[in-house]
Amino acid sequence: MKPLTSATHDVNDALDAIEYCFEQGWTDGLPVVPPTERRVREFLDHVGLEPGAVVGTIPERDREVTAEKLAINAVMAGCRKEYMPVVVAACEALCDPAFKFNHLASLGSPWPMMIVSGPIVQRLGMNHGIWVLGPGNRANATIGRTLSLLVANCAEGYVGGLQRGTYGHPGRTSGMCIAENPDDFGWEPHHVEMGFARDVSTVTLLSTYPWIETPHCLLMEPEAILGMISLHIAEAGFYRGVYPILMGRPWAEVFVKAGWTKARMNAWMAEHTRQSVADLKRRGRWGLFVTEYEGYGALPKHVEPGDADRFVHLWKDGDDDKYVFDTGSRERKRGTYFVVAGGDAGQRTCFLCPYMFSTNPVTRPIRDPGPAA
Amino acid sequence: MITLLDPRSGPVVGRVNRARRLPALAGKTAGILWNGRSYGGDLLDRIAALLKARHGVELVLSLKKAYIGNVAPPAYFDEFVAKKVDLALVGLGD
Repeated sequence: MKPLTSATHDVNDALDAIEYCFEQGWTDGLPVVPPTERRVREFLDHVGLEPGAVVGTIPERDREVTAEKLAINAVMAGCRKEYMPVVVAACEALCDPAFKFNHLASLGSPWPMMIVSGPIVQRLGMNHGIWVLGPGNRANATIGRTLSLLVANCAEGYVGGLQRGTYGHPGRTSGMCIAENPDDFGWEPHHVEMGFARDVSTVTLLSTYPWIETPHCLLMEPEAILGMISLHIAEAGFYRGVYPILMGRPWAEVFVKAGWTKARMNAWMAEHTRQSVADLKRRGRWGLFVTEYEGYGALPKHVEPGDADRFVHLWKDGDDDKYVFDTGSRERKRGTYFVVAGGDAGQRTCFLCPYMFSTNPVTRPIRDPGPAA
Repeated sequence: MITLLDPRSGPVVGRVNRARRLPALAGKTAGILWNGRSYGGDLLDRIAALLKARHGVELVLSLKKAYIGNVAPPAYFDEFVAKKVDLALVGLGD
């Protein structure tokens, strides 16, 4: 392997190293694992990458993410070297032009959620069950944290740099990397839905706002469950894009046993998720994206007769879309990603609203070399 | 003693695709595309004034997007071409 090229800093011991990283502003406010050459080389060896290999570019920041910098940040985040294949694929997704990296600095405080799907979930012991969105599992937490440190250290994505979110995102540090339940019970796994073979593992990045829970009470029929989710989604944000919807295995089994495919679930959601023009006006959404140059003119903002019976669908094209969704949103990916994740009890599912503009979800295959030596 | 590796990386000028740069500013024309965010217009106007004072760059076009979330319409780009604008001043965010 070629030599590493990062600048080096000498400190007395491990505790001094942790403090030094704080002093340099290299952390997210929590301690990091000191990035030593031996550990970084082990990470690079595991994925067979030279230090200078470019994993992705961020033209907006004039940056290249090299394997060396990615490995350093993965070490600091607390990863094991076995996690590196996921980290590499996630970085590739982050730098994919379709993801549109620059929006992460937005006032809206979006942050990418990562969905890991496929055989690697079991091998890395990733959490797909209870507390799936919270901390507690090393793989979930540190893979997610790596992207946070990477964006801060290699793309100025920190407060005081380019990070401009009004409120920030509580999931940024560790809570936004989840795994899909790999059990084979007739459900089409997320990575297969994305067009990959069953024995391939993938990571999907979606830029989202924090999650919203949807209690179903005792609704256990397909239309009833979807209906409740649809109502909650329609009232939250109403941003045209892709919504990840997480449900524990018992709810997924309802659809499997009833013979519903994901395509049918998505079609049902597209048909039923809508807002009336009256409600859109009351929420200040009607005309929000109307612009002078598009020639739509002044729109009445008050509710008029007939508005309660006139609807705009979230994912289905309609004549009034231009009054509710901006140009970029009307052209980007849209729909739902149903993912089996979360606990088996509680009569609830959850979903995440996509960031309101520009970004698209990106799925990349994970090149897994297998168990570490 | 522990030796740490620096996790940061900086710009890699010239290795990532960027808009073509002008070899010199003297005698060139400029256009502004303001995204509409607060005070962005003031900032871009100030930059244009400095470009004129220091390099003789003439501001020939100033456009404002009505909403930041929308892509600039093709008509805007047509105007930049019609006015033979050499350099565009744009900004992101606030």
